[in-house]
Amino acid sequence: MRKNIMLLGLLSSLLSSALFSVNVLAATPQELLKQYEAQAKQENPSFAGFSADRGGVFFKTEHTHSTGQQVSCATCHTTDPRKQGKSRANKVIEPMAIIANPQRFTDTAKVEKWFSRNCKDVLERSCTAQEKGDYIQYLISLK
Amino acid sequence: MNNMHTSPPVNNDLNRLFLGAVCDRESDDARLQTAPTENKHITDLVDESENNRVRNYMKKAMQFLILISTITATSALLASGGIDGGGNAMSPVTNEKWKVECSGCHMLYHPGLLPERSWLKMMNGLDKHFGENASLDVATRTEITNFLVANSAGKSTNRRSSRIDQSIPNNVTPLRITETRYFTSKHDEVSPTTFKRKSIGSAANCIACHKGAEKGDFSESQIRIPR
Ligand code: HEC
Ligand code: HEC
Ligand code: HEC
Repeated sequence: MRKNIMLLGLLSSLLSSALFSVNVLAATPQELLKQYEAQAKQENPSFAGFSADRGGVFFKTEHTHSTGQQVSCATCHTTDPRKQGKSRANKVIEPMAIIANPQRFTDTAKVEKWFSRNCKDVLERSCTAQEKGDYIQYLISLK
Repeated sequence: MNNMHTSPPVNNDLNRLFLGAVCDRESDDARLQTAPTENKHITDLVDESENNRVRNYMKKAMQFLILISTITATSALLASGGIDGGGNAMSPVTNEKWKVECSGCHMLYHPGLLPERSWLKMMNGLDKHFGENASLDVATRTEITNFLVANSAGKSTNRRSSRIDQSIPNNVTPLRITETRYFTSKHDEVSPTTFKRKSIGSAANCIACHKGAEKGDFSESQIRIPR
């Protein structure tokens, strides 16, 4: 009886620890910038750093989509990224600026997933590492 | 512990279900009710002559065991749809990946709102999802697809889900819940201008009026149309 209980106890604790372990690719915005910097240098040998100003312009520049719509990153993330944005389906999107939302740019896989989707949606192409870095730099710079 | 392995695979990922049950209020309640009495009963069986150390050990072990088996039993119950059976509220199913990946742009739509063929078609065209790119990596997409299919309208014993399923002609595969005859018939008294209110946006934003929408609760007592 006692042995059985011990075994079961062991089994259950093993089970729960396996169930509760979460793996996310945690990072900081600065670490992400380092990764994009390495990539940007490969893409462009004359890479000369990221610029918050350029990122701000990128964020707000409207593009004419092939469907005729005018879209920019600001369409959903609003022209003031310290504020809440809104998706097309009317769901609140939490602010993009780090100062207003420290959760941003802390999960590499999530960041890459959304860059990949939203760049295709807005620009109808992938974003370059330079553009991604400028964009993050801009969102870090907002106070 | 056996229940874990033999309960019907309604949820595609029993681990998730297990986690869900741990966090679920109902399982907490069940635990609170069973643990003290059962525990007393079992410790009574221990021979009085055994020393306290053993008794304390047994007590702790049993408490833990009962906790685990209560949770397991609850998940088995949830998995078999036992709690709501043929009722109106949809089964409280959940899957972590679904929750994260399908809630970024809009509310979570309960799998019981559309039939299997609708979910399959939707999940095979995520790169062009209502004009947006919602694509996922293959592993994540497969897990979510399995979850949606396993709990889809035609597979649920829930009355509402069955009615939704029956309202769709066999040769039609709607991608929108809002296009089903079930939906339109239930909302014929809500005017199109109401759906367009700033606080609502569109008919697809169920949660603006149905507080419990993400849990599959559309009961009339929970309806409130915002100004
Ligand atoms: C159609 C609406 C829409 C547009 C346009 C849009 N986004 Fe997004 N974006 C979203 C949604 C929805 C999320 C995820 C919701 C959330 O995380 O709160 C998101 C999240 C992100 C994230 C994840 C950040 C993090 O760490 O959480 C990045 C990066 C991003 N968007 C970049 C962009 C860029 C770059 C553009 C412009 C090229 C853009 N987005 C345009 C809707 C949009
Ligand atoms: C990138 C943003 C995005 C993501 C991620 C996303 N959706 Fe959507 N979804 C939309 C948009 C936009 C609509 C159209 C909303 C409207 O018309 O109001 C929509 C509509 C829907 C509808 C139809 C609602 C109706 O009845 O009109 C369903 C069902 C749906 N999505 C399911 C899903 C599922 C399941 C997932 C996860 C695999 C998902 N969505 C992820 C953007 C997204
Ligand atoms: C503008 C607010 C609004 C929105 C948005 C909305 N509903 Fe409703 N819904 C109502 C109202 C009001 C009723 C009750 C109608 C009546 O009784 O005449 C109702 C009734 C229902 C019922 C029947 C309830 C019952 O037990 O009779 C269901 C099911 C339902 N809605 C599902 C949905 C789903 C699914 C969505 C999203 C795809 C949705 N609703 C979006 C307002 C809304």
